[in-house]
Amino acid sequence: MVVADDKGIIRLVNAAAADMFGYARAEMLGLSIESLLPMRYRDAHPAHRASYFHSPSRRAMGIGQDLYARRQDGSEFPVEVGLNPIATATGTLVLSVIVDITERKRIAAQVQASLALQAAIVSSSDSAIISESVSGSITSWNPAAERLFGYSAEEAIGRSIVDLVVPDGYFDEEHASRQQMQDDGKVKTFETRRRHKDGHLVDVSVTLFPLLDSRGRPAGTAVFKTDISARQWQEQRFRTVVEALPTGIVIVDRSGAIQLVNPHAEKMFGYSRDELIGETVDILLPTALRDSHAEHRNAYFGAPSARAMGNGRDLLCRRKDGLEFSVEIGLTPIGTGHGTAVLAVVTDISERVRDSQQLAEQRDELKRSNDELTAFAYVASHDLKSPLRGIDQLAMWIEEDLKNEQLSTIPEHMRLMQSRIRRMENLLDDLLAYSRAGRVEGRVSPVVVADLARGIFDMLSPPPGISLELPGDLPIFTTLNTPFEQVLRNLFSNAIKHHDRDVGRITFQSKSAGERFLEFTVRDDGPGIPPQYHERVFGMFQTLRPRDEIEGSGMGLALVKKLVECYGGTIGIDSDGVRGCSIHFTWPVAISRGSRS
Amino acid sequence: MSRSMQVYRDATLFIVDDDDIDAMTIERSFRKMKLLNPVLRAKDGQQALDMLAADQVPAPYIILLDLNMPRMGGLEFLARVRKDPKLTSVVIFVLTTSKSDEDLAAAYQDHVAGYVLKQQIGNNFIDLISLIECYWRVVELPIPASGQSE
Repeated sequence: MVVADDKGIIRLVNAAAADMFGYARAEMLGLSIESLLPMRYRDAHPAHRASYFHSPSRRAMGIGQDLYARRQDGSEFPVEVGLNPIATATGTLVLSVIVDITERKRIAAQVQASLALQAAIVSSSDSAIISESVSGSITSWNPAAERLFGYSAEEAIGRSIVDLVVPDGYFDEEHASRQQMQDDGKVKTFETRRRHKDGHLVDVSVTLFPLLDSRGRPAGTAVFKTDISARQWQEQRFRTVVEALPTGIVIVDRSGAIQLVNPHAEKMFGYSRDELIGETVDILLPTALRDSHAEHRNAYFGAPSARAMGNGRDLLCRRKDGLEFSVEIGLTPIGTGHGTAVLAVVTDISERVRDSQQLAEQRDELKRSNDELTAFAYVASHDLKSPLRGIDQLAMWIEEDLKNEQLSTIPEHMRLMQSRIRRMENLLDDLLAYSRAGRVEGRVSPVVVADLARGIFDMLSPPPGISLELPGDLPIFTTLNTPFEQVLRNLFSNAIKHHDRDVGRITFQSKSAGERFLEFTVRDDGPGIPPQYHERVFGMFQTLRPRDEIEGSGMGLALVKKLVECYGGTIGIDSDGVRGCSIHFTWPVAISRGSRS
Repeated sequence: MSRSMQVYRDATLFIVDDDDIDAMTIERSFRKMKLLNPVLRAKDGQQALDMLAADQVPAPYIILLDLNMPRMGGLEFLARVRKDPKLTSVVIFVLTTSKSDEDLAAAYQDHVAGYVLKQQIGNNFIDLISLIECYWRVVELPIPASGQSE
């Protein structure tokens, strides 16, 4: 505050004014008021002063002009000056109230710059930026909003944004978002649809930003809208392709959490989408592989590339019901909003694996059947021819002997001829039985094994010294009776036929061999089979003694082996070839026509 | 081997065949031709080897070998003969029932002097005997090492 007289002499000054101008108070008294002005204003000032004193009034100095004051050190600063006339006995004085407005000017300049920046941003933004009043009428509408919605700023300002661009059916959503924003005062972002002036719909991302006045009361809303049609379309296209793919698609993030599955993957794994999203992908793996999977996954994310999983190993996946199946998996890294994820293309190849296994089985079966056929052909040309040749020979001898009237040899030759005819018959019967083994199965019926064994043994009419013993329990089980009987009959028959003593003992026992099989053993105390022949005796038409000594086709064990293996069992011989022989075979506990491998 | 050891007229016919009628046919043919050479028989390859090892077959001898026999067949017998230095030079005729038998025995051709079709043993067995006789005349039958001590 400075008081001066009409001559411009400073008559009174307060401490604040002295500080402002950099003087001591006493120094200022008596100074000319012009000395407080920058040099450039000093010359013109006395005239202004004279004019003021001519009609003094209470007013601001220098209306519309920027005023500056000068400190004692010569520096200048912007001021506002209020002039107040004071009438005294010695004439009129003027009280100047001087305010340093340096700070205010700086702020004003900043505000100016910031407003200019804001205007530049708003007008050049690709996002539609719209502001509305509390009552909901549009107060600003930038060029991007014009482009997005087709309305010019003139058309839009003053109207309601809801009326203008929110399509039917989206009102509730819009109101709910706004209500929520009003309630919690927070920014709302959502994706929705808006209507262009020409009526077509646009996919947009909307951000509602509450505007407050200086006292924190709602002053309106800033609305930002971005066109996301292109992104939406791409996503839509991606989804359509993924949903329609006839292979399983699973997207997994770095932590192993499942982000996306398609319907085929749902079907393949037996889980619904809701059960999988967010779960760890490990639940789709066989239990044994789960522990090591995180390591593999981390290794993959360390160097992600499009490649097949598992480096050629056979891969298995696990269904919800626990079933495991063979798969091929292709991995492709994909960028998502939350970092790299991996897109796994899962193909169920169990059918292919099964097919190739089946093919291999069929190939083996074909080979077996071919080998059998070769053996058949060989057998037909040897073992079957041999008795025929004998008959031919014997007939010739009988003819010769008749001619020479040597009748004494004829009965013996006739007997031999008959034995050859019987042998021929047996060979043909056994060959037929062998070729039909496993095809004529009879009924599936309960079998009391002990009764069956005794029945078969008695039917074979063993010599009086040969006995059958059944130590231990023999099962009663349901099985195909014909092949089981065939096996027992042949084993008993061998044991009886090849026994070399008057008194002999055959034992028949059974025990469990795992869950699925029973093991049966037929043991005799006959001459046994030397180990070097153990393999050979299972061949077709293989005998260990000449047929002229022990009549036999040599088909018995071949038939037994074929039957046992036909139902998935195994057969083996224990014998040292000195004394005794035991033949053991396994037979399925539960059998059916379809149980053959 | 000295000349004095050449005793082909007394050569033994060693039949290795499990079929009694085949053996009877051969013996009958011998009787018909008034051949008095000793005839021995084994019923399978194993028995033949056992008899040879026990020096039960007097040298010199000719073997008539069947292919299908219990325990040890003709092919396996030929394989054993090939490996045994004492037997490797014996004269063996193989009794066959078809051409395919000759194919099977082809692997042992060094040890097989000839083939005799069994179907022809009857009437045409004379031919075989002639063949063997001829062989006896032309070829100096080697005396197996096992028989040298006799």
